[in-house]
Amino acid sequence: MSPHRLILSLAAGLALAATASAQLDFGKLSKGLDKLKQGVDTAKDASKVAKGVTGIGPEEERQIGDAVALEIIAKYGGVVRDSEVMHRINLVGQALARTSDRPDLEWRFAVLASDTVNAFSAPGGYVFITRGLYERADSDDVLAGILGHEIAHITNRHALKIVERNEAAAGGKSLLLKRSSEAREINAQVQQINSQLGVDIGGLVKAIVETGFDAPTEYEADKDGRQLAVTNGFAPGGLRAVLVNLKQTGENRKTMFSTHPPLVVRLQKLPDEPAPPPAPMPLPAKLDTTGDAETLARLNGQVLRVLIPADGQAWHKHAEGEVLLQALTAAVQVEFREGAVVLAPGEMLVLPRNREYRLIAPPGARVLALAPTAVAF
Amino acid sequence: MKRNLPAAALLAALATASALFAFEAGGFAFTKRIETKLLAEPKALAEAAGTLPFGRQVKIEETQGAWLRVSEGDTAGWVFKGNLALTKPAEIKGLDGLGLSASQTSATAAARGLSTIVNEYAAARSLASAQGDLEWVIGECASLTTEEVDAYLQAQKKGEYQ
Repeated sequence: MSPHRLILSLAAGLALAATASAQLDFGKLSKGLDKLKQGVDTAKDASKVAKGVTGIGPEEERQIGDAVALEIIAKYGGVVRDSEVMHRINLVGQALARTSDRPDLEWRFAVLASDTVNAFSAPGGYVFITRGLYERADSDDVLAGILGHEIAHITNRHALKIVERNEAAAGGKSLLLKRSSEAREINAQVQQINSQLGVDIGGLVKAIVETGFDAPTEYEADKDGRQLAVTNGFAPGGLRAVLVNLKQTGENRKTMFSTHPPLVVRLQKLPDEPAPPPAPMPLPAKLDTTGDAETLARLNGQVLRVLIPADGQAWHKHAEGEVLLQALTAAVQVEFREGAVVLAPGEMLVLPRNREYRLIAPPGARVLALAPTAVAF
Repeated sequence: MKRNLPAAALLAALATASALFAFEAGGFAFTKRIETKLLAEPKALAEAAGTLPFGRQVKIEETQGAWLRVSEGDTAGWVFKGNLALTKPAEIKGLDGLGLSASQTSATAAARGLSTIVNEYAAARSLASAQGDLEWVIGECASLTTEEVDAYLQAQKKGEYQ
């Protein structure tokens, strides 16, 4: 075949392919339209049809996303309010999201206070992963694998496509609401707001959290998420590593990515790449008993403090529990009504609960105290 | 000719597929953010050589690691491949009538809170606690600066700093 003819037949092939896919789309579309037009009130159905055809705009996506995020947060025990965790997950998440196909969305990443192992995305740029899954991300490479998958769901508009295609939600009801009232078993106010948004939020949350996306959609998110991580220089095997980890620890469809297709198939579809090495754990810092900090550490419901006994301390006692005292720099006298115990530097005693005492020490002397959080000195 | 069609279609499909998977010299890519900077050299922090708006097709002249030298008309320069898309990004407009650029401009102008309708939704569904959490998340995310993300990428040798 001459180059010229090859080009011609390539073009013909392309045209054929284009026609075929266009026909497919029209088929879907007219089927969808028929379904939509089954309603009686054609005038009110017009906006519903319009949304199905033209898509959901940015402002609507934001509102739908906020509402879906609220439901996911409520369903999974709230958000872990730890600024360090937020900082890490948002650094990795933003690093990926800014080179995603929707770089200008308001991307937000957060950890849910649930020990189940799962991750979710909501329209508009919300990515949530449970604490159970976050704790398995022992390196940023693995975290990037997880977040990349969820980012791909958002950039590919997977949740919105469920709405736009007017797929029946669980229970066989349409997710796409007429912009009027549609009788549903929800309270009138929620029903009214759903109508204003044009989407049955409860049904959409159910589709995202319980029913889940279909298998090809998940494989697409795996593939695109992995590619996003690779483009940004994260180890390519991050997502694979977390899936392998979940498979090895016996996680199955019931607990992990419960809405996702089987792990075995997802792993088969990902390239066979090595797991990234775990990030080195930072060494614990030494506690400085000579500094100005009064509270040195909190551990097991206790507080470790450095006390500088005031001159002429009054008699007092602690009803909340026992206290361990240790003289640090100079000898300290622990005076009880019955007599006194002198602690040389390094020596310690356990102060009984409800026992009256006072500390007598030279100026600048320091005492280490380990006591329940509720104890005030 | 008829008998050649399926094979040709397959070939065409293959050609299209491979074009979708990689940035290659001689191929094309698209800008995907409101503004894409082209740089004078293939490295982060290089001087700007030009700027392109959303959704422009650019020709890939040369590749070098994670960097592409691209051109569109008189504008040419280097760009990190993560800043371009292989397929033309769709400008989605909804019933709200807002296109991507218009809504993004208003979104980035100020860190937004939850809209009235979302607050109403939270009230109707008795989701006060989740609402508090979501507002906390929005606040925490707003406090993370672009500079911090840049510093992270630089320290970890990721993104355009790899």
